[in-house]
Amino acid sequence: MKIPVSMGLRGKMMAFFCGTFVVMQLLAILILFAGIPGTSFRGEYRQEQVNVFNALGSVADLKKAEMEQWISVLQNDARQFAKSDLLRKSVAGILHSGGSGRPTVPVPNRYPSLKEMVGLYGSGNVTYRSIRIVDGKTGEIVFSTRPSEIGRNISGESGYHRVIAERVQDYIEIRKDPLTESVSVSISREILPPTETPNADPIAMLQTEVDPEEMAAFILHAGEGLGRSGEVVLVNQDQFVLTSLKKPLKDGSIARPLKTRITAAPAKYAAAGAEGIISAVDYAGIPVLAAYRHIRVSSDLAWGMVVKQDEEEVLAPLRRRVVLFLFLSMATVLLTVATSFFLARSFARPILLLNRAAAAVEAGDLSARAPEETRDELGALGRTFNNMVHRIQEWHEDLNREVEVRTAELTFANEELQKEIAERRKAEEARERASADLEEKNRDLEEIIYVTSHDLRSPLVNIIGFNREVRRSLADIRTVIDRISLTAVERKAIDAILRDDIDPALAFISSGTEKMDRLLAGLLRLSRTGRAKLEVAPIDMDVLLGNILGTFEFQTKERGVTVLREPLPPCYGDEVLISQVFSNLVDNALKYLDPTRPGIVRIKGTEADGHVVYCVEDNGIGIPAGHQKKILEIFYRLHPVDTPGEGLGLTIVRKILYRHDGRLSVESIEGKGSKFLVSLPKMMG
Amino acid sequence: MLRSTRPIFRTPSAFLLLIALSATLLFPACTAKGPAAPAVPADLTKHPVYSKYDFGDGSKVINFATQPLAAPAGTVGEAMAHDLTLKRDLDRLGFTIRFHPFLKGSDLNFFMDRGKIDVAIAGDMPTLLMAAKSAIRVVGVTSIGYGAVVLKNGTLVQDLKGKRIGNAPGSSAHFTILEALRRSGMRESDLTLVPMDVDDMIDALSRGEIDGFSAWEPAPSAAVQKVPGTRKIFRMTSSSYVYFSRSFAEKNPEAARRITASMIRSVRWMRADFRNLLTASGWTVAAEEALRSGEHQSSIEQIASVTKENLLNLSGVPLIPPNHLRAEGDLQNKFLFLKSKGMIPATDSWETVLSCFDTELARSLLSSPAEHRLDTFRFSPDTP
Repeated sequence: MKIPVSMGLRGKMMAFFCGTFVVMQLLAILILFAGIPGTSFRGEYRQEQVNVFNALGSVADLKKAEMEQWISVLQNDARQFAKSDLLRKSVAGILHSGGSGRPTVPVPNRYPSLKEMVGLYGSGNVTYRSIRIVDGKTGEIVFSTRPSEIGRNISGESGYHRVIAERVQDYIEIRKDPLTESVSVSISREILPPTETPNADPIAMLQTEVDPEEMAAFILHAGEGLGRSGEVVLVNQDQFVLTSLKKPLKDGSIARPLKTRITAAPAKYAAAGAEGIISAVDYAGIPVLAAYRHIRVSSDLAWGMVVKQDEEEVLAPLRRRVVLFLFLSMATVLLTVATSFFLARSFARPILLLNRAAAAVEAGDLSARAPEETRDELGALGRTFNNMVHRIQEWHEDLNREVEVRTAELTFANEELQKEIAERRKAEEARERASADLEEKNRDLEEIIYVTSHDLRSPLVNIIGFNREVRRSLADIRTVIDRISLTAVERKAIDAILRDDIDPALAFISSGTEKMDRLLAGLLRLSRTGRAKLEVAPIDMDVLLGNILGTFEFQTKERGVTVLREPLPPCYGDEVLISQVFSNLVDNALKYLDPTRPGIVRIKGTEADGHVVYCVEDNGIGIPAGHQKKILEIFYRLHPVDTPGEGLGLTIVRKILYRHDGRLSVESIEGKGSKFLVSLPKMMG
Repeated sequence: MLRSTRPIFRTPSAFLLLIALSATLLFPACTAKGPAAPAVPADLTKHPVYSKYDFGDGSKVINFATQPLAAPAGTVGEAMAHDLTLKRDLDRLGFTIRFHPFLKGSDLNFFMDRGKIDVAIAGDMPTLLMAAKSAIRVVGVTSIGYGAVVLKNGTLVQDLKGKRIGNAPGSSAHFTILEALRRSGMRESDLTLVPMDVDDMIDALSRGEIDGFSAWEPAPSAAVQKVPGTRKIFRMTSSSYVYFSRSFAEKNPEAARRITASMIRSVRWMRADFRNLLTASGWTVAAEEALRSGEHQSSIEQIASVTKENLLNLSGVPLIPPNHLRAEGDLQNKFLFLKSKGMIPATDSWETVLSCFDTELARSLLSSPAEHRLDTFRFSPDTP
């Protein structure tokens, strides 16, 4: 039984106590009445049934024994009487008195000794309906206790045939008087001659008849032992009743001996030769408990006997006991409910009070206390609970104090933190302003560089142009001078001026303007790098590096440089600018190779933490440690004499990477080589 | 008159082997739910007891099969074995008669089928099995008794549910237990039938190996007395008969008449004086002891009582009662049962069985008692 969770403790205790008791009681009653399966304990109901069955079986066995005894008595009586010397002599005398062996006057008084003898025989335990002597040769009745029968010939009857013709020593049959319809049990027995001659033929036949109704009445009487419904029923082999029945048949008719055939199972089984005990329906259609027995009257004649009692009557006491038990059970259940209620209340009260106290504590009332009235476990529980609440109350107060202190400290710290945040915010604002100023200045600077480089190129171009014009004019001057006649001194002096003063001056101007032109071009390129709009897209770096290296193919072959390129991860960026970065780096690597050993340039890339890092490594002359930071500065050149350039390449690289949120770093060992590491975001933000 | 040397089981294991062999061979018949092919009988010519029997080698030796374990059939057989009048009658006809005890009817039928046995006393089931083949001529009844189902700690047939019940498959006792179940609305599957020989059932019940058994008398009565708490919960009529092999009866009608006369004489002798009955019962116990290594399941008094109740008290025996042969009677029901179990071919007819019952021979003998000396009692205890 699942007790609802919402049910209170008292209810659960009551439900448990009552439920357990009721179940146990019902189980006990069930076991008491129905028994325990698989054991020899049958239970009262079954035992009562068994007792009744056993009683019926015992009564049936007794009745059967009595019936067989009764038949045996009839047979023995006939046997003893037929074998008595007196009868045999008397019969022999009668049969021979008439010469022909037949009585001439068929009256009993003619044979007083036989009459007296038969009277003596008939006055025994058995009441005979008739006793007759039949002539063994003719079949005529020569003597009978019923005078009217004397002289009747019965040679055609089965009894006479079986005993006299077939020499069966005795023969039992059920006869029915055709006139009166009365049923009788007939025993026929041979009467041998008076002399003791073995194997002699019979001279006559003794035939006795009894009324089964009358004679078997005391046997068939059910008596008090079988109750008011008890009955003993006797049927022949064909299930025809031999005696009257206690109750009418199903259809209300009254059974008549040898006329009424009953088909109830017990009678049917008994007539068929079976014996047993059964619960069935009887001839009246009433449920009965019955013991059925088969009675062998002779080898050829058998009866069925049923000893039965109505089931209702048999089980009535038991049913009354069941009702009584149920009534008592109900009363006990009510008593149990009441007892359970008081017990549950008594047991549950301290727990309920404890529960209330616990609920109050839970609600925040630490002053609540549980009862400590009893000295049992519940009292101890209450005391423990109260101690526990007391401790909690102390902890609570301590905690409150601690919280107050901590709260003050936190308030102070919070105020300090607020101040610091404000200061930092100011600093951040200052930094942002500075950054904005810086960006503004950078933009101004870039503007200046652009404007300067752009505007300075015009006069520079004029200078270069006019310088070329001066050279051509100088050449014309030389031609004119050659044509004119001058003295040797004059010509020598003019040549010296032209050769030693003007030519070097013009060469110096030409050299200076070309250098300035390159510087301006570099500045312009740098400026454009910072100003150009970024076109960001995924870049296949393998393709990009392949194209770049293709432009350097002539140089690498000419100088015998080995370029090793590993598969490179892709990245995001402006493909033109990124191409510029790696062109500059490859150009630098080739430019600063060590001429004393075969040049090797290695390009590789890795992915890490959202960045792609590419490395352009060479085995060149390397960068002295003191110059490694300076090479990133504008116009700085490590070997200005040996190598061409304006010192803007790495500056432009750094600028481009800055715009891509990337960075450039350098690792180099002088005389061994350098590594330029380019870090780019894998995805553009 | 000669009697076979009664060999005994030399060791218990030989006897157990016999039981196990019999149970194994008969088990299919027990468990069969419907008609099935008849079980192939064991070769009983190698049986430890029967193999020692001397059946003679000439036509002048009459071999008579008895069953000392069954009463009153065994009692009648033993009385006939001691009937000096029969011996003298057969001597005059040039015959020697030999009596051979068998454990059960199916065993003696085995030898009758092979021409070794000429006359037999057996229960209704073995009689029907032979009559269905028209192989015999039945001349008398030697028992009108009961087969009974006994159960320890039980009253009703319903109490058999779930129990282990000893049973001789294909016997009248098998029919009895099935009839008990049928009449109580139960089925064979409601219990466990344990195949075994009747002579082992009481011991098995005592040892608790079975809860009850179905058998013919005197085993049920002996069990009720020997095993506390045991009851007969159901009984069903069961008969036994005297029958000749058809070939013997046709070839030797006079010898058959003399043997039938001895049957009547033996019954009359036992009926004439209770002391005669006790003597014949004593011979039956001795025959059983010889057959079962000195053991017997019933006392002399028990055998006498069963013989009196199931034979001598009944007027008309040993004539075959007409009601045994009536339609839908006990015998015909058993015939149908054997057919349903496949032990008799479905094509065999009841009319064939009826034709084997000779009700006239014994009647004709009774009509001339002097000629056949039916009341001349010369029984010798020393004869066998």
